[in-house]
Amino acid sequence: MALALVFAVSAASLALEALLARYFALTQWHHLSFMVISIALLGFSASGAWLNLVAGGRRWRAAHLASPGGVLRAMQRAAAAMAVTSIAMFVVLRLLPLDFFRIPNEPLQLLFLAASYLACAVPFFFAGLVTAIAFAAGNQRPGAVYAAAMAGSAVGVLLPLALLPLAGLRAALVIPALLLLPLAVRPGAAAAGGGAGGRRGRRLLPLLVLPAAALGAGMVLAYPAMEPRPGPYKYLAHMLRFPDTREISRHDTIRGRIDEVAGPTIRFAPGLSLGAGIVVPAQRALVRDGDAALFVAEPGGAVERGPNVISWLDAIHPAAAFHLGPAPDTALVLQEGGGVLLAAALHAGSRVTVAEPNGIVARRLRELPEAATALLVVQDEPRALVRRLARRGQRFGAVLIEDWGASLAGTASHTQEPLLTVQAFRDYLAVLEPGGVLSVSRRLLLPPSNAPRLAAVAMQALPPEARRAAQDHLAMIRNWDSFTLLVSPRPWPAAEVASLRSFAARHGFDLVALPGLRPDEPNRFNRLAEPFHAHAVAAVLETMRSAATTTATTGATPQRRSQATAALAAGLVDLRPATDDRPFFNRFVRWNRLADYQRATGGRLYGLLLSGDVVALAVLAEALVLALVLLAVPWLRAARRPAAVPSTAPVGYFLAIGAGFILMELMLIQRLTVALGDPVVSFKVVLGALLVWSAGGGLASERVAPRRAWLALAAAAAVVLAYTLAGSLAMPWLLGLARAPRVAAIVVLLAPLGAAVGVAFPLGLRLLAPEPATRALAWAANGCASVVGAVASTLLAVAQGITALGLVAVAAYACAVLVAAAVRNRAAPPRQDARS
Amino acid sequence: MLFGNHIPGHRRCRAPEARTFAGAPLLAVAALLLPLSPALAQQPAAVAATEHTATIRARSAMVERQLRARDIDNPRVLEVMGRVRRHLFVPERMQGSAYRDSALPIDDGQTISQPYIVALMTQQLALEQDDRVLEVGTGSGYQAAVLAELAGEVFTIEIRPLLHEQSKQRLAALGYANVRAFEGDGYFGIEQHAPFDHIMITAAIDHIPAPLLEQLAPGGTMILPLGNPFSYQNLVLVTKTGSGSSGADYTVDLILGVLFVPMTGHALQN
Repeated sequence: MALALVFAVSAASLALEALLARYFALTQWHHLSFMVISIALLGFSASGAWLNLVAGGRRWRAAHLASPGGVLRAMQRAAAAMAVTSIAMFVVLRLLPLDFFRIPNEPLQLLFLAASYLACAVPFFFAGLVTAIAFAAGNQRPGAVYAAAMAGSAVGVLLPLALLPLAGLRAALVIPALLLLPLAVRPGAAAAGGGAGGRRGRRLLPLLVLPAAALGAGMVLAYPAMEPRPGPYKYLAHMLRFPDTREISRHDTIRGRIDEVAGPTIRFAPGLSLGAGIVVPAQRALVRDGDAALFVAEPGGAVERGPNVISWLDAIHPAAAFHLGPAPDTALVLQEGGGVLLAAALHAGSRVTVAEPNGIVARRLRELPEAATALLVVQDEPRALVRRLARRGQRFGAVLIEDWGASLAGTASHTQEPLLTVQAFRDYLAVLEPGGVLSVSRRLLLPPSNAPRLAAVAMQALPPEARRAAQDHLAMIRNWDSFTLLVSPRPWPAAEVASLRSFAARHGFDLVALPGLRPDEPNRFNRLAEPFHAHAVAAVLETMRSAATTTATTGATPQRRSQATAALAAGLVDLRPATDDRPFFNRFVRWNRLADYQRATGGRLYGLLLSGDVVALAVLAEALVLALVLLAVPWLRAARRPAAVPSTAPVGYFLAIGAGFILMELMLIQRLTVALGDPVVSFKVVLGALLVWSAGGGLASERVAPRRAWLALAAAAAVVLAYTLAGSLAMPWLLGLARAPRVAAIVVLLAPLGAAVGVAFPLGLRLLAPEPATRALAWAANGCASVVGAVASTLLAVAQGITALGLVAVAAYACAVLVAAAVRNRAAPPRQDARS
Repeated sequence: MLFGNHIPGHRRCRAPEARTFAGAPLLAVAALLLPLSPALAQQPAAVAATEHTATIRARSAMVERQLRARDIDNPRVLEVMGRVRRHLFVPERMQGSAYRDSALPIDDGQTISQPYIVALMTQQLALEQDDRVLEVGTGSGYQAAVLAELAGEVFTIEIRPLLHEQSKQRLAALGYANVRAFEGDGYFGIEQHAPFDHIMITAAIDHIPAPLLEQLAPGGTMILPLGNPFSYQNLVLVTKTGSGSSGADYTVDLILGVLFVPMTGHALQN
C-alpha cells in the first residue's frame, strides 16, 4: 500500500508539473518549464528538510515511523494535503496578477513572483513528504521506493497527454487531485497495519466524510476561478476586444491551446507594399497559447489563383521568391505562425507541402479548398519532415520559412528556435532543386540583430566555396518592419537579380543585400538615419567570407572559425549564428555592453530588460535563497549529532547527484526539442523515459554493495559524458524517423543513461544515510541542488550552449564519485531493510 | 551611433503663437451640460471652471520632465500639451495618475497613450492651422483633443461603441467643435470626408490599410506606432510623395528613440 501511494503521488505530482508548464505557456510568455521543475523540487526539498527536523524527535518518530500503520497514515495525510493544495495552487495563480515579463518595469511583480513560487511549491511539498516518509521509515527497501516513485512519475508525465484533449486544461488541472483522493483518504492503515491502528482507522472513517464533502464543495466553488486566461497583453486578448470578434473553437493539447478566432477586423499582411491598393480580405486566426497566430482565409474565401488575378499576395515581400522568374512548381512551407507564405505559394500556383506539428491546426489546414488539389499537409515537426524528404530524394523549387516571433519584443529570448539554426539551414538547402531558393521572413529589429544573425546562419550553412563568394548567394529585402532573406546555393543569375530589383522598386521595398548592391538601394523608401541593416548584414557577410577565404588558403579552420565567431559576438549585440547547440535565435543581449546599448538606442532598454534573462535571474535569486534556507536548517541540526559519517558527506554527495541529474535532464530536454518540435513535449518524453529507466536503475542498485558505490557512480559519470559528447550525432538519424518511431527511439536510447544515473540516489542512501533524519537530509540536499540547477541551467544553456549542461553534470557526478570513494570504508554497515 | 531617425518634423512648424482655444467660449455651456453627460458624470470635477492647482502643477511638470527633457521641441505642441487637461480623459480612479510617464487603462480594455507618445506623434505631423486630420482609434479622445488644438478639422473614428460614445460626449462637453467623431472600422477610413492632410493611427498594426493610403492627400503624412499594442517600440511616418499608385510613391521614415513605458499589469486589472 505504501508503495502504491508513492506511485500515485508521484504520478499526480509529475502530471501537475507538466500541466503547470502548459498553464504558464498560456498565461505568460514562456512555458517556464525550468521554473516549474525548480518549484517542484523546492517542494520536495522542503519536505526532506521538514522531515529531518521532526524525525529527529522521539515522539514523532514513535507515532509515525515506528509501525507500518503509522507510516501509512502519515503518508495518506500528506497525500490528501497534496490533492487539496494542488487545487488551491491554481486558484491562487489565477488570482495573482502575475506577469513575469513586467518584472523589470514593475517591482511589485517580484512579490507576485515569490507568492506564486511558494504557492506552487506547497503541493509538491506534500508530494515529496509522501516519498520522503517512505524513505525515512526504513521499512521499505530504498530501491523499491525509488522505483515506485520513478514509475509513478513516468505515468504522471503521460497523463496530461490524454487529459488535455479530452477534458481541456482547466479540468485537467483538477483531475490528478481527484484521482489521488480515494487513495489518500482510504483507511489503508487498517489494511496495512491491522491491530489498534486499523481499528482506529475504521472508527475515524465517518469523520472523513465531512472534510471530503467540504473539499468537494470547495472544488466546485473554486472551479470557475481556475479557468486559465491568456495574459492581457497577448495577441488573443487584444484581438477579442474588437466588435463581432469571437472564438469559434478552443482545443487544448500538449503542444498548446489553439483558439480559432473569427471577426471582420482580422487581417494579417506583414510586408505589404504601400502601393498595393488592395484591401486585405478578412481572415481567421488560429492562435496558439494566446499569442502566436496562424492566419487562414475565411471559409469560402479561397486564395485567388491564376496569372491574371492581382492579389495582395503579389505585393508582399515574403513572396519575393515567386517574383524572381517563373513561380516554382513545388514549395515546402515551414511556418511558426503567420500563414502568408502558404497563401502566397498557393496563389502563385505552386504545389505546396506544409509541415504542421499541431494536430488541430493540421486538421484545419486540410479543410482549406486547396487541400484537395495543391496542398499536402503533413502532421510532423518541420525539421523531421525536411530530413525525411531529403532522404527520399524529394526536392522543391522553394523552401519558405515564416516565423514572426512573439508580439512583445524580447520575450522570446529564451525560446528555442529549431527552424533557424545552421544545421536546419543545411537541411533546407539539401532539399532544394538546382536553381531553387530558400526564403525566410521575420520582423526587423533595431539595433540590427535579427537580419544580420539570419544572414550569418545562412552563410554558415552554405558550403565553404559558396561562403567565399558570400554576396553572390544572399539577397535581402525589407520594408519598415519586416524583411525576407533569400538564399541561393548557386550564385544568383543576373536575370533573377534584375527581377528582384524591379520587384523591390515597384513595391517600395528596400534592398539590404544583393549582388552588385548600389549605395542608394538600402535606404530608399523605408528610411533610417543610416542604412543600419545593410551595414550590419554586409559586415557579417564580410567577416564570414574573410574567415572562409583564409581557411581555404591557410587551412587553419578552427582558429579562423573561432576568430570569426568572436568577431560576431563582439559587437553591440551578439550576432553569432544560432546552432542546434545554441538554438536561442532571439537572444542578442550582451550584458557587458548594456550601457552602450542604452546610448545607441536613445535610452530604450526595455527590449533587453524584458528578456528572459531578467526573469530567469529573478527566479534564480529566489530559488537560491529558499534552497539555502532549506538546506542550512536541517544540516546544522545534523552536524550537531554524532555520526559514523560526517553530515558534510551526505550533503555533498546528494547535492552533487541532484545537480548532475537535473543538468543532464535539462540538457536532454533542450537538445531533443529539435527532434520533438516542442519544449513541453520534449519535457514529457525525456522526463518520462528517464524516470522509467531510473526506476530500473534504482531496483538494480540493490545488488550493488554500498562500498562499491563509487564504481557505479563513476560508470554513471562516464555514461553521461558519452551522451553529452556523442548525443548530437544521433540527431540526424532521429530526425529521419517518422514521429512515433522517433519518440520510441528516444525512449529506448535513454535506457542506458536512465539506468546508470538511477543507481545514485538509493545507493547513496544505503552508503551515507542509515538514519531517518539523515535520509531526510539527503532528500533535502538532492532537492536543493535541483531547485537551483533547474533555473541556472537555462542561463548556462543560453550563454554557453546545451552541451555545457552535460559537461557540468559530468563534473557534478565526478564530485559524487569522490565523496563515495572517500567514505566507502567509513560508512556504517548496510542495515537489514524490512520488506513491505 | 544612434539607431534611428530623430526627426523634429518633415515640415518646419510655424513660429510659436499664443493661439487661443477656439472652443473656449463653449466651456461655460459645456459646464452647464455636465450633469447630463453620462461620460463625464463619473468625473465630478471634470470641467470645473477653475482647475485644481495640483493638476496644473502636475501637467506643467509633465511637459518639462517628460516632453521638453526628451526631444519634444515644437513650441506649439508643448504649449498644447500643457493646456489640454489629460486627467479629464481618464477614468476617475486613474485621475491621480493622469500625468504619470506611462500609458493608462481606460474602459473596454483600451489605453490612453503615454504623454510622450502623444506629443511625439503630434510633433511628427507638423500640423498647420487649416489641416484636416483623420485619427484612427479615438480611445479616450485625448489625442483628438490635442490634434484639435493644432489643426483645422479633426475626424476621429473608433470601432468600439462604448469608447466612441464616451469620447464623443467628452469632446463635445469640452467644446471641441472642430472634432467629428465616427463609430466604425478605421481600416476603411472615412471616405466621404477624404482626402486628409494627415492621418494618425493609434493602434499597432502589421500593414498599412490601402483605404487609408488612398484617403491621404498627395504630400500628406501618416503616423503609426509599431509593436505590441501595450508597449509601442517605434513610430513610422509615411509620406505620400506621388499619386499613390505604386509603392514608390511613398517614403517611410522610422522614428526611433521612443522611450515607451508600457502600462503595468496590475493597472490593467484594476
